[in-house]
Amino acid sequence: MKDRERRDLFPGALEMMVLRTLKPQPLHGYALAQHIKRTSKDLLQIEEGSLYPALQRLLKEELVKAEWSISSTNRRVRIYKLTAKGAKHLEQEVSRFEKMLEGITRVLAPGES
Amino acid sequence: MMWLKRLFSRRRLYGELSEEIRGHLEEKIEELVASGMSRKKASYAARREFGNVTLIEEDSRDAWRWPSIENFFMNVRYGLRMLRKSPGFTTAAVLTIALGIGANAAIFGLVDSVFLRGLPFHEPERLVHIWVIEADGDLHTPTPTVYQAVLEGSKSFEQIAAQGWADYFLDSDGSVSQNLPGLLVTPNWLPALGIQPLLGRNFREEEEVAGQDAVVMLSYNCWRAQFHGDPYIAGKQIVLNRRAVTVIGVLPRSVGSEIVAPLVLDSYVKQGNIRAGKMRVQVIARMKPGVTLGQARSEAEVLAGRLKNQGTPADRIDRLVVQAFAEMFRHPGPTEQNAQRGLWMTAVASGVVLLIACANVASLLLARGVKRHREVAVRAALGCTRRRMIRQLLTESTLVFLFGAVIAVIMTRWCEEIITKVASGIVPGVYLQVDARVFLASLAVSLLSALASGMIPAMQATRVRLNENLKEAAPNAGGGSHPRRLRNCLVGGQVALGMVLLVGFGLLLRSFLHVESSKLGYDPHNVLTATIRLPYTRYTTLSDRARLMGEAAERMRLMPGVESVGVADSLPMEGAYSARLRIEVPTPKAPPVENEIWFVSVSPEYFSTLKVPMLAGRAFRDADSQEGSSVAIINETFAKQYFPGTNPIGYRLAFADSPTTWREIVGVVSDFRQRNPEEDLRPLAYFPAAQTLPGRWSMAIRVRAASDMGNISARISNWLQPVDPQLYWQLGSLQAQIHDSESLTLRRPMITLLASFGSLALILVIVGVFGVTSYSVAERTREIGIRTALGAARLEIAGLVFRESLKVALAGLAVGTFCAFAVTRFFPTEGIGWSGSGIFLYGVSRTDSLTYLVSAALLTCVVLAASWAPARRAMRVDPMVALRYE
Repeated sequence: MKDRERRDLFPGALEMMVLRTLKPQPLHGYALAQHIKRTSKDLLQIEEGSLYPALQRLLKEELVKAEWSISSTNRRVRIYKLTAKGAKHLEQEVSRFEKMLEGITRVLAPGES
Repeated sequence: MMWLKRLFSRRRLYGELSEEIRGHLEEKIEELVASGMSRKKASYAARREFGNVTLIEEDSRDAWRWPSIENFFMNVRYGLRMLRKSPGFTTAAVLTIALGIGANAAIFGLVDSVFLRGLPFHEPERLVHIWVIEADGDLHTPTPTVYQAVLEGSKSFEQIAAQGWADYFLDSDGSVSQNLPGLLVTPNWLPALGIQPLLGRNFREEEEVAGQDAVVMLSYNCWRAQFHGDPYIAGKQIVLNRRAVTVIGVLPRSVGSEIVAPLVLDSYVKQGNIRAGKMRVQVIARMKPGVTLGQARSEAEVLAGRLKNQGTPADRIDRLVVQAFAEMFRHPGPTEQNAQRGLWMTAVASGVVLLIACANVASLLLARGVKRHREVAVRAALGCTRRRMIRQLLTESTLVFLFGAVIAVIMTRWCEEIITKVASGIVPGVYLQVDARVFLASLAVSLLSALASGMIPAMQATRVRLNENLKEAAPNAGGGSHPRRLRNCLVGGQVALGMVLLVGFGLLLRSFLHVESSKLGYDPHNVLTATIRLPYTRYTTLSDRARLMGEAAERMRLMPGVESVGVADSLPMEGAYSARLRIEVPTPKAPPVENEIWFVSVSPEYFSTLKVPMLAGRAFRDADSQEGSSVAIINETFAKQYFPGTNPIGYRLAFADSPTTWREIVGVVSDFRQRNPEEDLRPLAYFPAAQTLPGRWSMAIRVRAASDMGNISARISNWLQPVDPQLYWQLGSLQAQIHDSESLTLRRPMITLLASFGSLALILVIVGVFGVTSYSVAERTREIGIRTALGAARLEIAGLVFRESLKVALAGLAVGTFCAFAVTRFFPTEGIGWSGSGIFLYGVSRTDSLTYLVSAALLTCVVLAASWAPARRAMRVDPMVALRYE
């Protein structure tokens, strides 16, 4: 079952993106999904639903918190917000990801050795 | 406490989640509708983009729990529901497993009780046996004098205890007496071993004195068998050897002979055989804490040096040997070796039974898997992964096995006593007690077998081609040839295993029959026996002994219906005493040869009573008495071995320990088996009973008519009363001696065990073949219908079924024969140790074609019989019904 979300992403990528998206502003699930889709320019094939297991995991680890409120379109939604712990986690993850990316880039870059 | 709060707020959490997802979908749909899509299309699109809602909800919930454990419980609940839904399958599978596991639980319990549990003593590493090596170079138990010297002279030991042997006759109601082996022990024997009585108390110091020793402890077995496990037995009086004694306690299962009484050394020594016989004691000791085996050994060496030249010649020793208890187990004696043989064979047999049971359940599961193809397809369509379904199916089969194990343990518990009784024939002291260890072992075995037999069916069942399975509704949809081949393999495997088991059983059964009917060299028919053990307080003089023997034999001869009476100190099948004999050899000027030889003391009429012919010289005469000159008779093997090509008459023999009394050989008697029906012939010497006057001897009483046996036997005790009313005669017959001979008593329980395993296996094979054949007939109903419609005769249809079963059976038999060849290589082909008995192939080769043929024929019949009902069903298939069946 977990294979599903790992099909296109490496483990933890979805969580990282969620945290990053929530950093500037709290969002509810649907908006979050649309935001990620939009900013990735549909390059990432993510089932919208796979967001929810990720959100639940983040909730459990207290990296985000959730509150029920009324959205702009006037429906009852759950708004997710980054916690301090989440912000710190995001920083760590991003720097780790950047290091990894750098490594991968170096290996993939042609000509250099 | 966070997790606790979570646990209780979960329901709310899950509700919120569903609401959230619903909200998400609605929002999306609205957006799509707003952009101009129809509501229906929008709803599809939203769902498509969202993914599998159920699965996602499930995954999201997974974040909040211990998924493996909760999934497990869910699987268990679901599994139980599925099992309840098909009680037929469940019952068949559970019972099959119960039989397989039950056999193994029993065998494990037995093996555990002797080999695995470890020594049942307190700190066994401090316990040692003390042996002596005497002038003959052999290891013996010490004489009481040596025991006392060790007791006084050693400092390494905390406790030194001795144990002697005795025979008891238990009078239960005045007329019937039962012979029970007994141990005589010093009061510190139990404390030295670190064992507490199960009931009552231990012996006291003052009970070690003659006159005070009218107390006994009972073994666990004796307590259960003779006194029905009476919990108030301690303090009660019983009659042993015609003497009232008080039972003071009951021993735990781990130790002791039937009766345990205090060892009174003085009187014990006096029981000694008159002819230089030594009474010996087994000496055990517990080393003081911190003393090593090496220290104890060097002390023993010093002590042995002192004992070397001290005391009577009988007590002279060469060395003292200190041996750790554990070593006894590393270097097993004949009994232990035989126990190992027997237990290994039964363990393998029970393993084979379990394998057959597993194969049965596996094929049941395979069939069930095919039936459940639609269920599996639906679940797969709903997004259940294969791994998860396999886990589910495995949980289900494991449940079946666990139920089986529980029933097996309960069944084994019921059969505890009877199994103990059968098995203790092979391994003395072995017992079956279903306890936590047996239960855990059964559970472990059941889990392993569940995995082994559930894995392939689960893989097979979850191999889905979604579209086909969902579409096709016909019962023959799933499967195809692959599962059928698998099922046939399983049945073939069962047949092969059954073949191995039957061949093993057959070979041992044939050996048993050969032993039973082997040529004995004497005629055991119509011969009663009466054995006497002289009480050591009376008949202390040789003349008294000689008079008693003469009077008893004479009176017996006068009894109506009695043909002749012979006396011997060891009857056939009892073995014999052995001693170092010095033998004059025919080689000129060569010194006499010395060798350990068996000897039997007999009366003049003994050989004629047994109908054993004299080959040369004469039988003993009445004149060969205390007053007459010392004479001997030797058997044929003796003559061949020591006097090849010469007439041995006139040469002389002497006991090596009283070398001045030479006994002239006056006759050569034909060979006969003295200990076991299948033993190799060995040299034997005979001396006149009137000259050796043993303390225990038997009369062999040849009766004129077989019909008189019972009648005469019932009157012997009364008839002999006038000779000495206080003597107790133990009655029997030569036939019973053979029946109870060591090798037959060892083999019989083995045969019983293997026979029961064999029949279990056959039943399981029948069930297996029946199940698989019925299934394949059901699967091929349509094909059979078509064939019938096209004009196939009913017999042809039956032939179709039988042919398939036969094909599988023959393949199984071929493999089984091959395996049996391999397995029987491990069958022992000779007896153990000096007794020459044991469980081994006798008179039959391990490739005995008759055994193989009969086993194969039996299995073929079983397979055909099991296919009979399915074949009949196939013949009755109505083509109309079969073709309309969709």
